[in-house]
Amino acid sequence: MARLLEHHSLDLLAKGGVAVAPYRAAADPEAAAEAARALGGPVVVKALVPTGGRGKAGAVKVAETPAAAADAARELLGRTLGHFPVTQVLVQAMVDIREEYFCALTFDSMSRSPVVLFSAAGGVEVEDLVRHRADVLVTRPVEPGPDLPLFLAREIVESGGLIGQHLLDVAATLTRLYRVFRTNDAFLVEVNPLAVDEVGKVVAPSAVVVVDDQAHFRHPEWDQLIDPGSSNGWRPLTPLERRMREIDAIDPGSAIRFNEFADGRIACMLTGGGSGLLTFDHFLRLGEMPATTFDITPGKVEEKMYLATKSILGRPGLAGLIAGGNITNFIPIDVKVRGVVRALKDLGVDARRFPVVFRYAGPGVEVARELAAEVPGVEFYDETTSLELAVERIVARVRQAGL
Amino acid sequence: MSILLDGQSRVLVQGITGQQARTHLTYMVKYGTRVVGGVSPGKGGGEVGGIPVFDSVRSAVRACPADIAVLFIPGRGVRDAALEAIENGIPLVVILAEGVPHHDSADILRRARFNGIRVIGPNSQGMISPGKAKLGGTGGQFPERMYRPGPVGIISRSGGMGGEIGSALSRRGIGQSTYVSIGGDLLIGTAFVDLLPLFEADPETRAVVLFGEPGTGHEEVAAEEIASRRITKPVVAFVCGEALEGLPRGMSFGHTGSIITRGLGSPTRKKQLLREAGALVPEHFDEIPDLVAQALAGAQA
Repeated sequence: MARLLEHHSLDLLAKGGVAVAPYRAAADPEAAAEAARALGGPVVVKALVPTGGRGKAGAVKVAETPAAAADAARELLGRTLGHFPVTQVLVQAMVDIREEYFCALTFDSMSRSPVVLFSAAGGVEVEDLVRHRADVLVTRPVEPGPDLPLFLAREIVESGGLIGQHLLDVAATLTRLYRVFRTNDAFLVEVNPLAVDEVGKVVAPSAVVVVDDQAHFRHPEWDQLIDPGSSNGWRPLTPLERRMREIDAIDPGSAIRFNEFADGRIACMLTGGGSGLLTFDHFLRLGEMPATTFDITPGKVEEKMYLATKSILGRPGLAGLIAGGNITNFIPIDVKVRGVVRALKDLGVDARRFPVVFRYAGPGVEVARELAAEVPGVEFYDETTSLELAVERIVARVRQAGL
Repeated sequence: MSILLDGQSRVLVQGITGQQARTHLTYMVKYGTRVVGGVSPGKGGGEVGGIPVFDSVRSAVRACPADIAVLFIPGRGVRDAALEAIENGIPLVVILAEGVPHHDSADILRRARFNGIRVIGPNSQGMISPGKAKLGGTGGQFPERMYRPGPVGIISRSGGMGGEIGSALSRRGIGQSTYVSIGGDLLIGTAFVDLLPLFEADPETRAVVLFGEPGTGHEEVAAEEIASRRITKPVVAFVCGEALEGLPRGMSFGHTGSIITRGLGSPTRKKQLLREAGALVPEHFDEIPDLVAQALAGAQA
């Protein structure tokens, strides 16, 4: 998933025929003042970062004049918001909001279909809406397809309590938002608030679009839109995470997923979605935060494993490494182990001092065991030792070492 | 007995000429899977390992009717291939690919519902009825290393951890009736609640193990089904991912379904509901074999 910056999200809405409040992005206070002049009238200046909660964080400011817009931009630029540095602001014409609704499109796992969320109680955080005002939130799974039928949009808006012209106009907007959702392979389109202005026009003063990066292959235009950091959803990539992306790029046949955590000290390279979760749970139960999570899908993985291990072990303050994963069906694990062992040798790792635990099970396990033995002190386990026991082993070794 | 798949099931392999498909085809056939044909558009008329290859599912099923289609097709090609299998009325379609776009999955699953077709996956590792047949990557070249015939059904959102369960049970001397890897995606065709009644009805199965993950409502719905007493066989349900509850939202381990959204789908809540419903819910994965052994002993008594 990749959350687009707000001006890119608004671009998609505007292209889809949804009325949006006019906007411009600005990278410095002068540009912000210029944007305010061009837009005319009072403006809203917002930090342009791919994260929510900007209002609460004080990163949305009203400016009556171009000079005030410059001041607001000066204050926001250079700040860090939800881990994201603010390098641009969005300057947007202020909407005279008379009515505000909430509207979102995403997927529902249980009906296996798109779902429309609508509420006449807009302008509040969606979490609050779900938790405290679920009675005024309309949740309607809809058939996937190129269009949301207008009658269905009307039903949804009617269920939200709207009547008269507002019902018709908001329903029409909803069908356009659905097309934005569909044609852009979005995972989420959220407009909050969806406003009615002083002349009765339905307008989107803000928008969140999260695209499904699994569909990147048919959206070359995303190359320019997706900030690599935003797919993590909560902070930009660290230098090590960026490095891991470079390593991943050497072969498109397999994919690495990697996360780094500032307060961990044991590098964890246990692969498999389920086993990654399970072992993470177990680390926390033992009072130990892993320093990394790592997953790699099948392919030509030896070189990737080599480079990844080398990079990860370059992180300062590490006290140990665990590598492996759940029992594999057909992926020869000796290929992976070969990469890891080569990195350990290159780095001159002595596992008697820097604990290293392997838990590899699957085809090639005998060769893998022999390879591991080439590095003194590596503990090697196969499927007869569970993932949880292997995690307990690395934690115990690290603690024994007094690290 | 077993569910969905046995030695009689006629299997069609879509994408049969791909490298992965060729490898797994060999293993599947060697294990006893009755593969009747393959599809690879543009390569019809040939054969792979003695299996005839067709240009379309339509011509394939005319020559050799199939009960199951298994798709060795990369994510970007899945929508087309799955719709083809569904439109041609193959009753069970197994999608192995990871990375199928959500809009494509929604289209596929909608059409499948409409046509009364069961879809397993996307992002499934396949399935195995030990001693009879297997589909996809499950079990690899030596399935007997991990699975043996017996009384326990396994349903897992994680392909890899389903293998760990099979392997742990087998080492404990407990065999399996069928293991179904239902896939780790947010949108999957078949969930726990769809398979529990099949295991309930299967005379060979005497207990079921579920492996759940954060996100979606599949564990919650399974809990309702268990609580309804329509499922009388013991269910051991493990849910991983409590750690995610303490992490920033948006962190995922590669299973899109496991992203906790809007405060729903937390493992703590899932476990609580399953426990209240009467399932055996271990805190540690390693407790699973013991709990299953106890459940089987209890079910016997």
